[in-house]
Amino acid sequence: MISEQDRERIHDYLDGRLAPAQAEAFQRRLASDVELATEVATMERLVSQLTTLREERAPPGFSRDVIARLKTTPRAGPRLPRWLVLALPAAAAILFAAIFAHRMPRPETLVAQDVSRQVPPAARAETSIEKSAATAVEAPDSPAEGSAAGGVAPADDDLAAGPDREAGVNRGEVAEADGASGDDRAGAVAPASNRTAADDRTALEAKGRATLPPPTLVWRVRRAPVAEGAVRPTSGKSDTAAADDRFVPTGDGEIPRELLDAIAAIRTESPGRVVERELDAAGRATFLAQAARDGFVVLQLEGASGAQYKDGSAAEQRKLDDLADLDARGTWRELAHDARPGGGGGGGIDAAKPEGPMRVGTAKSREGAPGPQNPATPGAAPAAGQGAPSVGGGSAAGEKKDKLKPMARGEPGLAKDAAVRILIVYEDDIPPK
Amino acid sequence: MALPQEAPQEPDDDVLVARSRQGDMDAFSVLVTRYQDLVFRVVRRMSRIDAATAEDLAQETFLRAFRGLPQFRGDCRFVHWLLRIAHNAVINRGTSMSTRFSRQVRSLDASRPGREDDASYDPRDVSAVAPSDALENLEMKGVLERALTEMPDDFRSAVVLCDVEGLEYEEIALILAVPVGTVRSRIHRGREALKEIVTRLMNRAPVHLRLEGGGA
Repeated sequence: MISEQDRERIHDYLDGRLAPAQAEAFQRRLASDVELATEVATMERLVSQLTTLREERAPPGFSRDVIARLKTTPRAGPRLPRWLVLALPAAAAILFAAIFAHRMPRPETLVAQDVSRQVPPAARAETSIEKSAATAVEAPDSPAEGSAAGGVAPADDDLAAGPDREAGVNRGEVAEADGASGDDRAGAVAPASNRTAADDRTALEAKGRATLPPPTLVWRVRRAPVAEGAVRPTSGKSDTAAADDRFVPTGDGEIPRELLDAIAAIRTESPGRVVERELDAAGRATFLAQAARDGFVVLQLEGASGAQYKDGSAAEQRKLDDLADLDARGTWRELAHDARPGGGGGGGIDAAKPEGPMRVGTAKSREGAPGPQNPATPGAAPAAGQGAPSVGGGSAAGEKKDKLKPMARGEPGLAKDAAVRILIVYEDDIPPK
Repeated sequence: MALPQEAPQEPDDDVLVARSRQGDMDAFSVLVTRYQDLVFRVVRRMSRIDAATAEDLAQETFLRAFRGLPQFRGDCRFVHWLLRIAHNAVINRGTSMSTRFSRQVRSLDASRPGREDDASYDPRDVSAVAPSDALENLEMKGVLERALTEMPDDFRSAVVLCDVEGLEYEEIALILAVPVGTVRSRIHRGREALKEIVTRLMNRAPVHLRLEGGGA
């Protein structure tokens, strides 16, 4: 049996990263340890085979085509002074705010307007995604603009790009994927301090009846494969057996089966409307740190038609604002707005209703949340006990069940035009506070 | 390091970059020619896309590089900067995910070992090697290519840059914008993952291709 340490050493040895003395000692071991020597030989052969892939060449005429494209593409004009580059967006924001403030109606009206937006064609969503991706590349992609590892980057760039730098696409793509989101949120969600719970309730109810806009995005936080049973829904031990069927192991962890089914359905009905993105490690770490600090999201699943909302309390709104805050930091926009995840726990996927196969809208408080770091709390309402798989509901789920707005009969759970934004953060990933 | 080196009679990267900044297309063309194979391979291997899409993305990489030259301060080597752009282009394209469920075995006729420096080298010409060797090489490459596509993205990027392109950990760290320790970890774990995948695929392959027990 080769130990983990020896495995590490094998790679260091093959890459010539062992100190001379260590290398000699390792070679001596190879002479006497057949298993280790075999493993080294196998790995050496694998590495050497990989070098044969280096022979692939660019297609003929590649450089000619590049130059041709360069000549047909107008070169960017002279760069604006940096102070002007910084000042222009600020000026635009001030101008926009002034105009917006002037025209802003009452909050509940705003919400109704917001959520009654018609769903643009799917193609529009895709276009905007592509566009935003391209836009995202322009500024931050150039290593000259910033390289955390290489020390090439100016500090401000690193700060601005932060964890998204590696993934590149995350921040920029999301930033424009739903171009109206930020603005709408500014209008739709007035500062919590200015609103009452009744206002919140009105707003959320209005949203619950409305169709949410695309784009349909699925974000998945990457994780290493986990042991069976490591990720579990809201329920306690009694739910373990039932949970097995409800979760599908994937290369990245376990995913609720219903979620996959729902995504598959959307794919079938509206090809191209579901876009998957993975957070890179850095983006994930930042998000998890944020989640740990705020102690809320374990699993959030947002949906459109049939989204159910909680009681619209100030506490819930605070959670929503927290989500919006994530967005404002450029970390996580898709969490922000439309589907209004409930804050204090509960919610989740409810497949029990045939007319509404997927009722969504959940975020849960860390307090009392069952999971590896916080075992199932007595009183947490097992979704299975309700006959409905529920994901992401917290310990407060049982308490709040009666407060959830039931989905109207006949309302599709995830309609063709549904906007789906999904974030899964596994509980065992969230570091302790 | 196995990055392309400039020919003795050609100006080095810094000179070409400076000239390219002034709009000298000929100078940039030399840079493109110098690094086109590298960028093409890296883009393709990192993103699991077909050759045509990889070509498009590789071209896009050079276009972005050209447009971004005014911001290139020379803090790192041009080629590292270029590969960083390529890496970001791959990520921004989202190609990794979009092809996740449509993995295909790459065409097996695109490569041949041992003729890297031969200007007349035609990757589709396998007549100069023994038929059995050519077949074996192609089969093994097919397995490796497929195995690479099945690796997690992070691991694959690190393994491709290290083991396919022969870059040092520090260079890879620059390109991927992660610490060297992370690079090391990804390479180690990536190789282990690759070995497992290859072994699994090899179980369906002829014995002479298998990793264990010698072979090619």
